[in-house]
Amino acid sequence: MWTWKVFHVPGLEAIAKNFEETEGVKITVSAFNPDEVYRTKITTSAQSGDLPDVLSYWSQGQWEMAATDLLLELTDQVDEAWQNDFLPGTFDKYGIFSQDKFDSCAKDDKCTFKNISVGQVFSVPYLAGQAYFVFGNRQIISDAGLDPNTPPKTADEWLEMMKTIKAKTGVPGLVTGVQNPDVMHFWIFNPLAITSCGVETYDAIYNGRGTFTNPCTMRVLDWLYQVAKEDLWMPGILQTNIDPADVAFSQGKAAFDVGGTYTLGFLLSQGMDANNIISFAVPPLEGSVEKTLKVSPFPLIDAMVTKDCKKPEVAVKFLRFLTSPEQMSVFAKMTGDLPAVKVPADPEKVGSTMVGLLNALSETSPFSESKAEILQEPGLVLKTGLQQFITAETTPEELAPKIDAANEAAWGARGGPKNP
Amino acid sequence: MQARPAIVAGDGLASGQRKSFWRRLKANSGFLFILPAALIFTVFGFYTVVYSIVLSFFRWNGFGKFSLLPFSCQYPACAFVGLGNFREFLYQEPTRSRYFWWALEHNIIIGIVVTAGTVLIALPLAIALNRAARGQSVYRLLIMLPMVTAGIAIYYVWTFIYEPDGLLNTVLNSLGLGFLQAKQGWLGQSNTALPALMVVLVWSAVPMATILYLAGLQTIDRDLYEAAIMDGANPWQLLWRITWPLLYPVTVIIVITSINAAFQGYEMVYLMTYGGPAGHTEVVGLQIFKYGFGDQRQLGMASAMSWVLFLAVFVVSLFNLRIMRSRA
Repeated sequence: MWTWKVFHVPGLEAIAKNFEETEGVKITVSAFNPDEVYRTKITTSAQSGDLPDVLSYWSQGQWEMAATDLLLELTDQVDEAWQNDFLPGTFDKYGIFSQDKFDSCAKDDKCTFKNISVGQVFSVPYLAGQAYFVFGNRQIISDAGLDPNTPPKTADEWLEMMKTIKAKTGVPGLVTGVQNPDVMHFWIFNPLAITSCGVETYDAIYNGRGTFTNPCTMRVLDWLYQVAKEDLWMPGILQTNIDPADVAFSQGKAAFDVGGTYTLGFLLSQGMDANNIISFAVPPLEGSVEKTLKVSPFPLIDAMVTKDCKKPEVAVKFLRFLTSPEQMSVFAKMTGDLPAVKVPADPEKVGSTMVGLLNALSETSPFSESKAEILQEPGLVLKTGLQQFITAETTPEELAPKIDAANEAAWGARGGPKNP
Repeated sequence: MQARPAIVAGDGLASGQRKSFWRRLKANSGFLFILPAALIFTVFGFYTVVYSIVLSFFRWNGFGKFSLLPFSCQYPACAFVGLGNFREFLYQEPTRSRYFWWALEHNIIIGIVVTAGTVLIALPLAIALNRAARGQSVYRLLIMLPMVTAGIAIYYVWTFIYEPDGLLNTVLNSLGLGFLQAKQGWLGQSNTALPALMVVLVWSAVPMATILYLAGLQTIDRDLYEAAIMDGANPWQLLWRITWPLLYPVTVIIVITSINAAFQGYEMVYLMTYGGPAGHTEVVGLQIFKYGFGDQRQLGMASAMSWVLFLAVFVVSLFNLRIMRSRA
């Protein structure tokens, strides 16, 4: 089995060992990182026919591989009992090729998996997660005379908290991995936008049937602009990537850190006291359509069996074993990462950090209902623009029409906006 | 008996052919020496170059089959798009093309500034070193240090220097020049990120240029200087009329290699800024890397962009070579 997550190897090896004891078949786990190296390794191995029997890959990346006949089809293998083991919104929403995905692909000339049919399955998720969590430093919040036990109910309150903290303690309000352009877009803009606009309008905007100049998205852009204008980001934020941002937060260099289900474990591993951390989902703006942001798990990593596997039935058995609640509990406890499988919320079995995460997740969220397709071109303009708020090179009024223009051109090249 | 002369004649013929073969072989032995290298180049150089040219006319995500010998392109992972890849990033898709031209603009700025900076620093350094009566080897060692230090470590050290609370800001502050500090860090501000990167590029290019200039200076005949001094030439005239023209061939090499590095290099940008802040240090090489090996997996597009970049470097280098040669 191959993976690119080095810190997952002990967890996967423990499961492989349990599998060997049960089935008498040895599974060797190998890791190749960083991400680009892993992608290249898989590309070249696919060309030379040297893929391993079981492969880990980014969820939703399975369709491209399946389209080139590299993967074993699992449609008839993943029965109802197996499907019931997965967290809602993981396998059911993203593991089965949907009509929506089929329609989008059919319209897009560049789609490379046009030969996949609705209902086909080629992989099962084993790791889930979600961003949209804010972590706060209890001590810094208290030092500013604020109550750390009352998290902000709205993004506006959160902004005021950050201003107060900056004014009273001198500590910057916010840190996150802004150097990675995806972070501000996916972790802050999108949760604020989906709550501010509601799923229907949010989808319409991204799918080319609405506009980013809509007041609901303008409010979000304005909020992010205010954070920059009020100098609430940690100094050097545009040079700060995800892990260094978490490290800086754990060192008390900012009052709040935006992250995900995977952040808490990292903060604790940096020596931060769990009692000094508060966490809450990104709060919606005042006047938002959705008054709270429910966060449901999203599949992050899938496991799949390659077509050249000599013993496919054993490999499929291993996938079933890997994604069983018992084995995923072992994995969760060893890695501190959230499995895509329903594991018991028992600190003994999965560790106390995991219990907190499981309790914070909902079964549904606006994102699990959303059918928005975020195209690369408008995404690029939006991401760059959000960074340009920090460099003081643009304003929300200037940025929104530019995103609209890019979105219109991109959907135009794909035969027109996506239907609801 | 009759057969004997024939055999002798045959022997003679065979012997003559052998001799002629060996003579020819000896005369052309040079080809034999380059044969292994030529074979290696054909397989690993020429084939890959042709592969890359052909790939630039296809859309391919790297998973399906795409090969030249025998030709194979497995739909839908691979499809012939003609000049579609080139059109898309050159002018057709407004967002992609805007970012491509912006990145190319950064490459051009880097090419001009780093090349000029390297020459302007390396030449006086080499002249000073050439005149140093003692300790020349120690100076050379010191100047060569940036070249022999591992790149990745150097990039990280410079990143720390450029941080908001890094060495550069601290030194400026302690000198009472706090108003010059980059509050968001030198790599975190749109107006300082590219210049800060170029400083590191110049810093790492100067040692090799200095050594090349030094070697060039040592080939200049001292009599030329003595004759010029006797004719009343001042130091500036010596530099401008003798040293600089005679160092043209060296300058050509430095300029071409520097431009080549400026256009094709992306590792430093990848490690230090990843193209940020807000795209202000994005270069074409990094875009190619992102298209080819990032999550976009558009290897055809990456190849097409590489060929446009190659063409740009080729034209600039040719232009340079012509100008420098004509002046030399």
